[in-house]
Amino acid sequence: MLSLTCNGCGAAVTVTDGTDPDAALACGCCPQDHHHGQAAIESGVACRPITITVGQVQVGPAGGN
Amino acid sequence: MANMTDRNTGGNNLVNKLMQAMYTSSTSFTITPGTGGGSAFTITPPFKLRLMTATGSNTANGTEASGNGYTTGGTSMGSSAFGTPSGGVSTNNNAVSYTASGGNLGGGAIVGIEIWDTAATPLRYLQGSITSVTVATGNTLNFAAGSISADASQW
Repeated sequence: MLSLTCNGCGAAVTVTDGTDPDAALACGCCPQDHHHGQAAIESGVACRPITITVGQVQVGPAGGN
Repeated sequence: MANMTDRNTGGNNLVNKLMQAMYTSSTSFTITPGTGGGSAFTITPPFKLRLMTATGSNTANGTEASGNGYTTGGTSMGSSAFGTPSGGVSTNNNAVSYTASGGNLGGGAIVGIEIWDTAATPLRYLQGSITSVTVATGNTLNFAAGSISADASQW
């Protein structure tokens, strides 16, 4: 899962693995179609850009270079 | 082999000391082993966080992202890349972010990260995978402070 924050309303949004986050957002701050970007124009709500925050990442040793 | 040694306590706390020396130092330094201990080697901070469009492995580099807001070679993780370790685990001290421009960040879905030093010929130290994410133009991919863990138990 990816955790995203709408820069327009600050809502936290979660999208499932492998989904295009830009197409999947539906935090509710955009009244027209709940789609960030489109609704920013229609409603004046600054829904874009969005920030995608990666969850916990574990890194291990790396060699070979 | 189970965990290589007590990673948090004991007489010398060696694992934490090694982790801290490698990933918390803000200046370059050279480790010179004693007789029979192998060749000296130099660690050159700051470390850079690179994004990958194909993950690597412990022995092979991944495919680095390219363009559209991503700078080849990655973005600095700050003067001290990781914090003081506990139990052989360190996490990144600073947030690192990338903003896409002119297309999807790095030219495609980001699936992994690698951490390299800034030697004249940079060396790769750490690697891992992330949930695949495509970052459209104008959007930002963010790694929050504390979100990247280096665990000595994997060594």
